[in-house]
Amino acid sequence: MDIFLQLLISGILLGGVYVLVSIGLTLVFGVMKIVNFAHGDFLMLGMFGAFFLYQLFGLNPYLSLLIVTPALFILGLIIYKTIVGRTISRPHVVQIFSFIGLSVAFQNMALVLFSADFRSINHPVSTKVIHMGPIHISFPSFIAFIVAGIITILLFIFLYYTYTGKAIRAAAQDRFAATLMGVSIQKIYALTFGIGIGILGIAGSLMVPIYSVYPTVGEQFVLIAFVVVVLGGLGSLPGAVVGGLLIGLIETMSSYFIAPSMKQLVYFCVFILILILRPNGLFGKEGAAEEALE
Amino acid sequence: MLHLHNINSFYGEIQVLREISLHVQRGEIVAIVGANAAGKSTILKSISGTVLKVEGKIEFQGNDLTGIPAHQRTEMGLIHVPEGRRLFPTMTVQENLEMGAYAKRARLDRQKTLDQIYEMLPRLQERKKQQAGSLSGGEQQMVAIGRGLMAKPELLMLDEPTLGLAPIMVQWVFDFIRQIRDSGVTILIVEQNATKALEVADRGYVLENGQIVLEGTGQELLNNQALRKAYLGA
Repeated sequence: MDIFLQLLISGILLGGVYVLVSIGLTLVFGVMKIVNFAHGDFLMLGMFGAFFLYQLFGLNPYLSLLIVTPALFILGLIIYKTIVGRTISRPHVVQIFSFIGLSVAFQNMALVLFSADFRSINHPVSTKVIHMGPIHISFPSFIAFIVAGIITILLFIFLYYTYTGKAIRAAAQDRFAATLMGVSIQKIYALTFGIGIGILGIAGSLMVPIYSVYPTVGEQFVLIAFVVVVLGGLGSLPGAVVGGLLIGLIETMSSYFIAPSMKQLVYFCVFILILILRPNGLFGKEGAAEEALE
Repeated sequence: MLHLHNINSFYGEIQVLREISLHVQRGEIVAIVGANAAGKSTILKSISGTVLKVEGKIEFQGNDLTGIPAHQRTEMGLIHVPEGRRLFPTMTVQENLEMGAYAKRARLDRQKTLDQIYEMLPRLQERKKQQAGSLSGGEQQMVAIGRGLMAKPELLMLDEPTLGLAPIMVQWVFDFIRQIRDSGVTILIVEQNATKALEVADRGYVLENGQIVLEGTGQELLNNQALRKAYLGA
């Protein structure tokens, strides 16, 4: 029983990390109907940012998120202005290959600048464990989970209770009508993309105490992020939360009860099964994917 | 107030409008009538800046609109209520109306304008918390026009506001259009329901295959034999 409880808690905490990694992807898709294939590489940049702030200046990763997050938000705006914004009304292949090109460029830039070494920080917080009776809770995972919750709630409040947030939802629902209201679609998209990337700054900072950093670290997470987002329903925030927690739980449980090397097999089986039963994902709207392909 | 000079509009390679010239004076109701696919909606889209390629000159209140993006035209008081209503379906009635006042010229007075609109359209106040997509067609049209009024229009362009509505709602829409004009808003309306539209309009234009073939006062057009045969079914 203790083991089960331990796995349940570890799985949910891992799910929190996955939610953080996925939520920007689903936001950008939901609003702009584009799939950011370079999502994982922005995460890599965020992790490297937090890593070097610790390595060079000894900055606690939880404080470095105050620097890395705005930096990634601004990077998101710049990438939107220079690349993404120019592909918005172009065919989908143009969008897809722009992002794949961006991904290759980021990875190789990181390879040249930082080398292919696996790096991790040696901060006492990395190995800190909270003991609750027989249950052990990894401190950095716990923090990541709490912050994931806070970020999700803040994002929800922003989208549903602020005027700018409502304009983002309006643009997501009907780009043409929103333009007629006087909404500048380019500004709203730039802001949305900036937020989607900025959240990866938070995620990167929180993940540096848990995971090693290397130029292709994004690939490992972007695959999970895609599973989470499609499972939850493309463009759905609650979907990303439930999907993230579900994948975290499945991964942890199957690692223990079956074999660690089988964990991906298990969550992909669950993924396929859910898509057979609910092709639009758990919280997906009918036609979200078709809309994206038009 | 609004002048179109020899407008040619294109969707990609296809030319939809040919040498359209028309004008609207302050305080008028002007109707554009014509068959399906004659290019009526394209005229409004050209004016609001939502057609990709437009040749010719459009002037609004003395300003040349060439090169001004659509969202800035809204800022000038040039408001387009699109065909098919195009509400934000999962946002509430109130949120839809509030989005209408997004333009800076309307944003500060948002609450005041909203109160006025609820006074004019009490049905919307009753349903303000409902999702717009769950309303009946007539109610959705009320929201669409109300959302246009939230922007404090100088010129309100209505694209097929009665399409798919029950007869009683059609009558209501035309009565409401008169009421809006009497409150000081100029109106340019595109309609397939030519008889009704020309009855409320001061002047009208008849569009055929992307060209203006007739123009005159509403009454003149209603009495025109050729037009009656072609469009009015009489």
